[in-house]
Amino acid sequence: MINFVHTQSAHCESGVAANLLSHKGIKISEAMAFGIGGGLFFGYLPFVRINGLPLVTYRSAAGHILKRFGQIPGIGMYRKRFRSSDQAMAELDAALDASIPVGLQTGVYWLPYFPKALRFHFNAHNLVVYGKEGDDYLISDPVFPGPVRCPAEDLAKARFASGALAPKGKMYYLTEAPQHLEKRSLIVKGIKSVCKMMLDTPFPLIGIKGIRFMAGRLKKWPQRLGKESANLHLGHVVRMQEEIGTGGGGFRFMYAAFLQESARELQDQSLLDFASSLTSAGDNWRQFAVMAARVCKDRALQGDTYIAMAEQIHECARLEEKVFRQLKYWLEQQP
Amino acid sequence: MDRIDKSFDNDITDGLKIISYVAGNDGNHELVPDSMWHPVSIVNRQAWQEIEKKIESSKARIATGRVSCLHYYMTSSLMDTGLLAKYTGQPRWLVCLHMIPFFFNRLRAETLNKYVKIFKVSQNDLIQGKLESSVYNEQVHSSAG
Repeated sequence: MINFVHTQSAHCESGVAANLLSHKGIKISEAMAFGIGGGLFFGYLPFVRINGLPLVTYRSAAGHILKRFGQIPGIGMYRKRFRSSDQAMAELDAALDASIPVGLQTGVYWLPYFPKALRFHFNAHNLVVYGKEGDDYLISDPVFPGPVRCPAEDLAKARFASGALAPKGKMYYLTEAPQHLEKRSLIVKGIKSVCKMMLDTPFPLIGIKGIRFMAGRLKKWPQRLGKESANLHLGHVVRMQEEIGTGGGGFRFMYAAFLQESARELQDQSLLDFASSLTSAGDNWRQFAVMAARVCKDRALQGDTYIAMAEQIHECARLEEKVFRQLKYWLEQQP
Repeated sequence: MDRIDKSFDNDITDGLKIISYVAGNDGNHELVPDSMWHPVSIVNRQAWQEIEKKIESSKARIATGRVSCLHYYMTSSLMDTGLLAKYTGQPRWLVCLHMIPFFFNRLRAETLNKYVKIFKVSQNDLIQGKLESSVYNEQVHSSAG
């Protein structure tokens, strides 16, 4: 069996990237993988519906982090999607026989080891399979404290889950990795891509503009949708922001951790200041979540209104815009 | 987020500890294993209450004969006709037809089989309109090594 070291992480995709790289001898933390992969994002896309509710995302598209890692010079990544389930499972077994830990994209709904309350039809989950015992696969699922097992039949179903972001049996593994990662340029590139998405996009629904757009919409939900539906929409935003896999504060705390680690790596004090500003943006997101949870539970205090929540989100936008403008200026100073 | 500000709820993750980033006193973020943050439990429960409501209304509609038992299985599997159509490899309008008892009662065994596979129920249950619990209710929590 492959001697694969499982490390628990907050977010599945960056956790898988970090675990796979660590297996190849490159020690990298999850937060660093998240930052280098340019994982932070904001998008409010009301025309895409999840269970009838608008798509809100605080992270980049599924697969973005891994794709960026695959593009780093010196790192070779094998990626494949399949049409047939049998072929996909056969290729997984072949890779395991060759002692290669394999990353998979799966749906969450079909994984029996997931807590019941989190089994929604979410298809962009990532995990690493590192062995097979009888009919069970041994899995290092980064959001779990320890390794887990999954029967082959369920894993096959999870790999071929249908719906939005269908994984189509996607599997990937590292074919080569350099002795040492030159982190400086990767950190700078990672920050650059996030700044570009948050500040310089022309689309009004993503980045800082997207945050403000959502605040504007959120304010009108009670009038437009009625109280019950407005509360459902609100709960959905909070779930996307805080539920399993975000590390808290809609990935803002994870990105702050990345900035802190980068500050140590590059010996640059200013990154620490940006990290603490981003942490206060994350705290603001959490205050919004607390207020929203009270409203959803019908325990609203005086002042817990949709208007107040929209204000809170505007404050988040203001704080984040400041951080990313400073980061952009910092980028210009870099050699 | 400060350590002091957190309150917990053990329910929704079945005692599973997840980790999140928490700023310590020096402002440095550390990974801390904990239960799910309390507001998340509230909104998660809200989402499930909504699903339960839909399941109840589906049961009521089946009782009055307005929809077939397939509607219950679809709702309790958190699917809609579009997703069910994708899973069973049929066009959506066909799945919509199968929701109507008149058409559902006349389904061929092979078509029924597609639903049997996806919902993990027996063909007899489907034909007799028995309402079994959904896939996520029969979960086992196991860990390796």
